[in-house]
Amino acid sequence: MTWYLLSSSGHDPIGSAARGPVLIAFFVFIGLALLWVLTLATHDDHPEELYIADRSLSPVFNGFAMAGEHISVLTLFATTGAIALFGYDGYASAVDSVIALGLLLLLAQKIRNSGRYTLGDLFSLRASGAAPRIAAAVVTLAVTLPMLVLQLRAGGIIAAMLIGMSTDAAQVLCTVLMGGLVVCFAAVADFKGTSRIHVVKVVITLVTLAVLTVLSLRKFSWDAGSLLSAAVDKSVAPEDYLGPGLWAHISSLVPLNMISDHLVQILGTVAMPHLILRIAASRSGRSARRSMSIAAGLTGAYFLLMIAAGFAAAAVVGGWGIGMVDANGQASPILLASDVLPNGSATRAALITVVACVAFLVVLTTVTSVVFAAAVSLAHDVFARADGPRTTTRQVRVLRLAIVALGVMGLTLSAAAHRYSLEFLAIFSMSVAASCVAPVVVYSFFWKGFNRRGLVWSVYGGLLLCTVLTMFSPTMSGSAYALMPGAEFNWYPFRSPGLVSVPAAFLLGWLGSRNPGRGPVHAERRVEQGVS
Amino acid sequence: MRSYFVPKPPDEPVTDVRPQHADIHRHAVHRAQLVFLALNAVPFAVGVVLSCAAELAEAPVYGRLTLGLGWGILQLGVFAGSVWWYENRAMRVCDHIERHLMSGASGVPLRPTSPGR
Repeated sequence: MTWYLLSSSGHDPIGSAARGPVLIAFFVFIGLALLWVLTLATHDDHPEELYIADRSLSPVFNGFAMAGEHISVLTLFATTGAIALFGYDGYASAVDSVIALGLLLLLAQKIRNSGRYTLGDLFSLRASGAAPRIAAAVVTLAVTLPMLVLQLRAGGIIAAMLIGMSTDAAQVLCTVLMGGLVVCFAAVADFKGTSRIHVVKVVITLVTLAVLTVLSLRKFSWDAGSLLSAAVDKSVAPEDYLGPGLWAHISSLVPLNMISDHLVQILGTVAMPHLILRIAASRSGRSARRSMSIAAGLTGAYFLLMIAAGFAAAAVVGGWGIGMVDANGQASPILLASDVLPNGSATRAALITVVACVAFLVVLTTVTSVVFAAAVSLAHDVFARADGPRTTTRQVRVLRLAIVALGVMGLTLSAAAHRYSLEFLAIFSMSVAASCVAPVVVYSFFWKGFNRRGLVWSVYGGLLLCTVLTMFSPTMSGSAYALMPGAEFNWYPFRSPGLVSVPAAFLLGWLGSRNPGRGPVHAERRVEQGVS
Repeated sequence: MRSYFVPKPPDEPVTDVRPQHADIHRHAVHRAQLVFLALNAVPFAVGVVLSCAAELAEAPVYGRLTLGLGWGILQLGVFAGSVWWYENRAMRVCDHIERHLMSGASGVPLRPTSPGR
C-alpha cells in the first residue's frame, strides 16, 4: 500500500478544459495580491514599528491575524491530507492543535506584559548576557528553517498540480518561482501589512472550507453519516481508518507513539516564534488575551471545517486517488474541489480557482510570517547586540538582508530535497519548539529559581536530544516514509523525540538551576511586570 | 455584583488597600486559570487514553461515529465553551480589579463603572 502511494504519478485532477480559466484567474489573483503587497510595502525604519506594528493592533484585528497564523500550509494541506489518508490520527492531531491554543491563551497576557517580543527577549527574562540570546537565535532557526522548507515545497507541489505538470522538474520550478515571489513580498512587508493579508485570508479560507463542506454534504444527501461511511470504505485501510496508529508507520509501541505525538503537538504549537511576535503586537496584556480568545474561536471553527473537508476528501476522492498525487495527501483540498462538482461546469472551475487562490494566500502569509520572525530574531537578538546599539536604519537593513538570506536558503534546501520524504522536518521543528522553548517559557514565568545555567542546559540539552533522536527515528530510516527508506538505523522506536526530549529538557532546566556549579552564576535579572 | 471596595469606619486609621486588592486580583486570576486548565485537561487526558487504546477509540457510538471521533468533537465543544467562560470571567472580575489597582496606584479617582463593562 505504502509503496503504491509513494509512486506519485502525473495525475491531473483539474482537466484540460478547466485549466485555461483556472490558470488565468489564478494568475490575475496573484498579480492583484502582489500589487496590494506593493501598496503595503513600508519605508518605515523604526524597528518596533516594523517588527510589531508599534504594539498598536486592536484585539479584534490581532485576533483575526492570530487565527491566520494557524491557517498554515501545514494545517490546511498536510493535516487535511493526514485526515483523508490516515483518519483518526490526523483528526487527533487537528484537535490537539486547537486545544494548544488554550495554553497560549493563558500565557498571552504574561508574554505581552513582559514587554518582550522575540525568543531572545523571553530567554533573557531570568538570565543575562549573550548566551540566552544566542541560544534563542539557534532555536529560532532550528524551528523556522524546516518549516520554511516544508511550506515552500508544499506551495510548489500545489502550483505544479494547477498547471497540470506533476513531474519533479515542474514541481521544483514552481517551488522556486512561487517561493521567489513570496520571499520578495516578505522582504518589503512589515508586520501590519502582513497582518492585513492574514485577516483577509482567514475570511476567504473559512468561507471556502464551508462551501466545500456544504457541497460534499449535498453529494451525500446531507447525511454526515453516509459521508463518514464513504470515507472509511474508500480509505487506504478501511479496517484501521478510525483507529489510532495508521500515521505512525510502525506497528509497535503505538500508545507511546501517540503520547509522544500529543505532547509535541500541544507544546510545539504554543512555542512558535512567530506566535510570540504576534502576541507582542497587542496594545496591552488584556488586549493580547482578548486577541487569543477571538483567535481560539476562529481557529476552532477553521479546524472543524478542515476536519470535515478531510473526511469529505476521503469520501469523494478516495484515499488511493489522493495518495497517487501526493504521498502525504497535501493536494486533498484541491482534489476535493475538483471532484465534488461534475466535470465541465463553470462552478467547478470557479471552485478550483478559489481553492488555488486560498493556497497561494496561505503560502504567501505563512512563509512571510515564519521568515519574518526568524529575521527579527537575528536582527534584534544577534546583530543589534553584537557590537552595541546600532542605528535603527542599520537594524532594518539587517532585517531585510536576513529575510532574503533565509528565503534563499529555504528555497535552495526545498529544491535540493524535493525528491525526498521530508516528514521528519515537520516533526523535528515541532519537537524543538516543544523541547527547547516551552520549558524555558514555563520556567521563566512560573519559577523564580530558574537561571542562566538552567536555561542553557535546557535549551542545548533539548536541542541535542531532538537532533539525535530524530536522526535515529523511523522518520529517517527503516520505513517507507523515511528520508532514507533503504537504510535501517532506526533504533529509537518513536516517530517524534518528544516523549524523551520534553521531560529531559524540563529536568535539565531544573537541574541546571539548582546546581551551584563552579563559576559564579550570573545575577538573575529582576523580572518585569507580569512575570513574577 | 460583588464590590471589592469596602468602606472603612471613620475612626479606623487609613491603610494602603492596594496589597489586599493585589492579592484578590492574583487569587481571581489563578482561580480562573485553574478552572480553565482543569476543564480542558480532563477531556484531553481522556482523549490521550483513547488514542492509546485502539479498541476503545474504535468502539461505535452512533452509526460509523466512533468513541474516538465523538470524544474529539466533545473536546472541541468544551474548549470553545471554556474559552468563552474564561474570557468573560477575566473581563468581569480580573480586569475590573486590575483597573482599580492601576487607577489607585496612579492617583486617578475610581470611576463608578460596572464590572461587566
